[in-house]
Amino acid sequence: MGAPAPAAQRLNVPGPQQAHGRQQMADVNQARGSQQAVSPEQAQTTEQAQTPQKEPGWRQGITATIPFTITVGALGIVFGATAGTVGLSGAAAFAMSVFVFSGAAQFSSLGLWHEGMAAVLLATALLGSRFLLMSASMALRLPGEPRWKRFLLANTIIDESYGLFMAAGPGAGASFLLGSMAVLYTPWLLGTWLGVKLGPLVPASWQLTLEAIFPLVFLVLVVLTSGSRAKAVVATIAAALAVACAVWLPGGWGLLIAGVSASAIGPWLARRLT
Amino acid sequence: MNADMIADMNAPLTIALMALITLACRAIPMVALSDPERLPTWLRQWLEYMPPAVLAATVAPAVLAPGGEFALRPDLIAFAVCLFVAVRTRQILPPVLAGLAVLIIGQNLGLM
Repeated sequence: MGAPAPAAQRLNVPGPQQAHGRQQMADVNQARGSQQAVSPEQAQTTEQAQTPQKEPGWRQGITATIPFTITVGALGIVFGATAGTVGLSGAAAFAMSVFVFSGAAQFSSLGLWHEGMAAVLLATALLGSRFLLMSASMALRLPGEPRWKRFLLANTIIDESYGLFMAAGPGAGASFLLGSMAVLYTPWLLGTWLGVKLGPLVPASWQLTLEAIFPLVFLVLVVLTSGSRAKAVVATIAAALAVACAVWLPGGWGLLIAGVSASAIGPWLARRLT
Repeated sequence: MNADMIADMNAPLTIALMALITLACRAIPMVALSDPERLPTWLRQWLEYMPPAVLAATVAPAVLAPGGEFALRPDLIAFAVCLFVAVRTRQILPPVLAGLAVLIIGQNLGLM
């Protein structure tokens, strides 16, 4: 618990992305390993913030994002390897990484694949709803960019790129975002491809163990997105509701009922608990 | 397996729609909303609690009620260990490895 915490805290930028696991995970990762590689953020958030600097461009976008390649690549491998276990073909898994490019949505789609398309799409929409907020707050940081360019830049939004971009300060613009995106997209695709290739090589006796990786990873994502007490309570309530729905209700309604209602009481809980 | 065939038939359409929904969530505010402060406060606060709720609601049934049957199984110990380590370390790899280790040990001892 000790050492990484202060650095991770320092890197955390105020705002909605604190709620997102992969951001926190990556923060911790940054704080642990490659302090040098995060110079733009660190400079912005430490005592050096006063010294005048060049505006962060694509180079800074790339160097700041390098520590994330490990977590993103590893998650890609796990995704590619587990996709086969729910009956998704390698090509389909790779296509999903290319076109959807959202770890949370993709992993939950694997968990819900046998529930049918409606459940998968519902989860995608609920998980995608956080992009609405990120996108809205990023729009303010990209003044003067034409609409077509904003549309293209919107494709770069994931938890990591959002956190980095907001942490890099008001000077960071489209080029920072594109540099960051390039460094995140590559390991995600490479990882997925590797996972697809490695998945079938695993002996059958390991299959049961391998299948457990998905819920284990997801459990960790829940913990990492539950950064406050209110969020932890919300997650617990959502889990209980979803289990109750899975037992008593047919279909994938548990996600909608649990996801929407548990998150709705979050703000009320937050006022109560502080 | 029959379920696999059904899943594969739906795959291209499902993935295309997933991509479309995700793109809409990413692009619509960026293109249309120049001022996110205009979003109603209640909506912004609500969205903030969406990720833990949705992620928990996704994983909990898979762990606690696979196949729609609530069951306390011995391998839940592995998930409990994973949860504990995740809360303590707030990192991704240590809890996953700890959970896997418990699971593998349990399986080899014939307990899980």
